[in-house]
Amino acid sequence: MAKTHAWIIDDDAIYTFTIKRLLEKNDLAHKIDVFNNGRDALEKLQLINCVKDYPDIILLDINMPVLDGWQFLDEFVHVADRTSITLYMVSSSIDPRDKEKSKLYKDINDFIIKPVSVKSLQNIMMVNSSENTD
Amino acid sequence: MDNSPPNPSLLQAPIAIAYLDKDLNYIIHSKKWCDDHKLNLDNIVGMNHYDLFPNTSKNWREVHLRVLSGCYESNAAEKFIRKDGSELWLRWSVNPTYDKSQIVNGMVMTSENITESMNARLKIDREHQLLLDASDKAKIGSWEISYLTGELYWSDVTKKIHELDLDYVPDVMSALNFYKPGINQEIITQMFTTSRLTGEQFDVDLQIITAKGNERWVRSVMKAEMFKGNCIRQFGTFEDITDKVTSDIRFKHASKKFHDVFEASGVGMLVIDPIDLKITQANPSICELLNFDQEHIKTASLGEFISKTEFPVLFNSVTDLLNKKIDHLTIDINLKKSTGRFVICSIVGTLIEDENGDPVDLVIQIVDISEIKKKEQELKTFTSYVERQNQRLLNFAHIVSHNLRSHSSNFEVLLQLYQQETKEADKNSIIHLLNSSSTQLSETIDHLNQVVALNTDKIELSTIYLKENIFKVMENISTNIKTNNVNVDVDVDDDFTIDASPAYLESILLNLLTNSIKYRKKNVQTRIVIKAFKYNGKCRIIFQDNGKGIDMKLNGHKVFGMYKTFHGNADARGLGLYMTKNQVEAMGGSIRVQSQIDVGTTFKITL
Repeated sequence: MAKTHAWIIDDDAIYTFTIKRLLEKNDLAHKIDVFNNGRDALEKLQLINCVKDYPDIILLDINMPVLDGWQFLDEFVHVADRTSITLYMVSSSIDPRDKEKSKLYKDINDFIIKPVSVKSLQNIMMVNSSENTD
Repeated sequence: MDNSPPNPSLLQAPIAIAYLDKDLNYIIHSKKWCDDHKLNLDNIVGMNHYDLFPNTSKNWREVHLRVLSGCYESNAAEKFIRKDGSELWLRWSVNPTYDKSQIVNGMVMTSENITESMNARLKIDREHQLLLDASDKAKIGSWEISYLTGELYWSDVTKKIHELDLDYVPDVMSALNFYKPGINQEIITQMFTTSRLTGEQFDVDLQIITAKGNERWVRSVMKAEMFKGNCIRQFGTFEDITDKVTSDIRFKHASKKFHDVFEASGVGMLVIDPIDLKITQANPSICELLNFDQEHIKTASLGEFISKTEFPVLFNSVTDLLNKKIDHLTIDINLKKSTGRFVICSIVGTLIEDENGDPVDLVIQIVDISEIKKKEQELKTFTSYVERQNQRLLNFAHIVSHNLRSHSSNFEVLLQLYQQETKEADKNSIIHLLNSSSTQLSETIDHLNQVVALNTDKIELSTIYLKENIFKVMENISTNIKTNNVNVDVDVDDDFTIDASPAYLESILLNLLTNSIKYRKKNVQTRIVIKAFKYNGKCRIIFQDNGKGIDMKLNGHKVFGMYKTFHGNADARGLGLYMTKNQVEAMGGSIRVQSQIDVGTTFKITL
């Protein structure tokens, strides 16, 4: 069923392993790319010529080296045709300031606090695939 | 009465006199008659009076007719207007003359020119009247005593001042008795007597007791009119000056009070000329504060106690005060003591103006606020210390919130996966990850211990040789330096000393060195330059590398933050520079960074 292409942008290797594994095991994504920081992901995004090659969904961490989540977003807003991408902020931070700040970015669909459960992953992907079939 | 025409020698008589017959032809006359009447003739005998005075009025003609019928006519003072318009006052008489049969056969006319004395008299009268009028308008009473009639006159205002009814009839004795018994009565009696005897004029302020028993201050002015050495009249004015005297007394009291406050005040006070800032008065407190004697300060200008750099501040404030842009002068300024040292003072100044609103004095109060400023500085230092502590607590909370939680959530998800995995190989790989997660957790807890252990209280500083310490640290990481072929250039004098905590200094040097090696550029020879020199009495250490550099625009604000890494290196912990900054600050110093991508990074430490 899953035709979803997901990007995980996070420097925590254990976290990315678990998310990747959960998506695969529950058949929630057919393609998963992992980036260790915002810069790598942004560079990849800028190389893509065709909108259909964009990911359907991005799970973005906040604290990362080189280019953190916020800095990635500051660049991301300049990406044309980014409306086809559903972006989630995923962080261990329960600092209310982070959550407040995320509301300032229209491109952020929601702010998810780690750990990410199978159920919330399913919800994220279901919403996204239903949007795709519309 | 001998009415026969007199002797011709009458011509030389010193009065104007003329005998005329019934037809008013001149029989004989004195020469003065012609002079007084400006006839330009010496001898008018035989000439007719009406020919000589063609403009003789009807009234005069009637007088002549009445005299010829036996009447005696005279006037003590009558005004005439001459042909040339000038005024002439005459005392005149026209009497009939009789023949032997006692029949009127003519008339004798005398006239005396009294213009001069009349004018003098009128002048006095006019002045008197003016005085009375003015007195009444100005609520100044008047009085007059005539020694010809013995009458004492008091104006209504004079009676009012005495709180008497307007129908009161004064006499000299009771008038003098209204003056307050004692010196007041003595003075007024003396003056009154002297004035009457000599005509001397007096002007005196004295106290009276009114009819109702109230004490009042009055100004009494007296003059006397003398005639042939005798006083014929005394007169003067009488003014109630109680309010003025009271306000004078109040003013004296206020002045005395100001003077007492000025002298006794614990606050430094100066009276200054607001225009040239010359000091005119200085109280003991300001002398004590500035440690100068009063004579020195009183001959100085305020500017002499203020530094050139701060003087414009005072000058502009005083200008604003003079231009009424501000009501009071309020500034904090350093004043120079006799020792040459400056003491910070708070100055409050008020402008004193005269009745025209022109500035006269600038009264300033000066308080030594160096203690307050010191306390303020202590408070600021304390506040910034508390702020830093707070920031550390916040960072601490952030680590607990973020870093510990990321480990725990990894554990949670890994354990869930472990339960779902069926293959032994997958299970093993999860166990492996659980292991590394556990290691990372230990590391994080170790970091927390370091942050908690960071002592930001005043730490013990000792004087140490910098170069020696740099070499000691390099020795500890010599393998690292050799392996990576790093060239460290230590440009520090052998005897260069620095006041620092040895442990902190070592930790800082170690951190900067390992950072430079960690973030070196792989394709070029790594070069680190360490310089040290004295700068403004402090030590400055420059630590420069030619490494990857940091994007300051992007991450400049995060360089010294906790858990901030910029290069994606696997061994980056994001704690080193945070610790470095805290250690530098704990020693009372500061650290700044300059960096450029692909060029290198420079740290400047000031201790």
